[in-house]
Amino acid sequence: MAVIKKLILDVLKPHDPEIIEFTKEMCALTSVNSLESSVEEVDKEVETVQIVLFGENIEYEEVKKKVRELGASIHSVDGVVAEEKIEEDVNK
Amino acid sequence: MFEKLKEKLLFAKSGENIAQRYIVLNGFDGVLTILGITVGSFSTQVDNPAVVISACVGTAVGLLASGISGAYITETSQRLRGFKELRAKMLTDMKGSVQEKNIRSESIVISLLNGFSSFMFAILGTVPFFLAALDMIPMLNAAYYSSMLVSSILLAVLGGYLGKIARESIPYYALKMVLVGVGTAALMYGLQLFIL
Repeated sequence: MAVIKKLILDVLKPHDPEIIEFTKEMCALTSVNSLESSVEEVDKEVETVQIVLFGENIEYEEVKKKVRELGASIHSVDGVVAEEKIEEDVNK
Repeated sequence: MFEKLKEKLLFAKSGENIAQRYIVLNGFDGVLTILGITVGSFSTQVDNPAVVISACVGTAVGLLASGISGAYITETSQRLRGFKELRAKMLTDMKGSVQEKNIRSESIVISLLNGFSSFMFAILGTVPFFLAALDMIPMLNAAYYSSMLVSSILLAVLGGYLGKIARESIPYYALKMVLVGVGTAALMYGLQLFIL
């Protein structure tokens, strides 16, 4: 079964929480090891940020839920890196 | 969560310190209200501390109730409007989001600050009358003078604090506030002379 290792998202978020707090909150997710975020566009009350998440097995549903909890919304999934998970043979 | 709320209320990005503004504004209300009662009672030479205490405490409780309820309703409606505007921009319902939860939590904290600041400042001005009721100081006229002195000190402290915020002269702001108190007392005293 393939697991998601990297996820690039285009997110629309309010100015509050700020990008640093937003990034920290997202990074606290159990399936995310590290995260990069950058502001793409700033509007009066909202901003578009690109977030790049790295992890061993990123749970997209968990990410979606957290983004929503922070008052933001995912505009699009701009990139995914998945890897086949090699099941270890315990009988070996 | 409390830390975030504290940070938001005390160190707002816009430089507008919500908690600070409410404490000073309502503290000022509390002090001047009690000063008005004190001067009114002094001009009619009320010699029973219980009468002045009940008037002051009743007023302080009124300020507390109006401060909490008024601020809660005002803050909630204002924040709700902001939230709805944000929601329209976000094109989502934002249900369960931190912004939605903050409407209530921030409004509660602000309304409590609003109510208790005026209540506390009002009660501080009443302390000399409690001392008079306990026969620690004479009611005529030590309790009155002490209460007026306490009110003046509180006004000076609030004024000085505003001066510090504005990075202006602290004594000048303190004096300005005390003069407002003196003006209020003079107005109250003059009105009493006119009425009686």
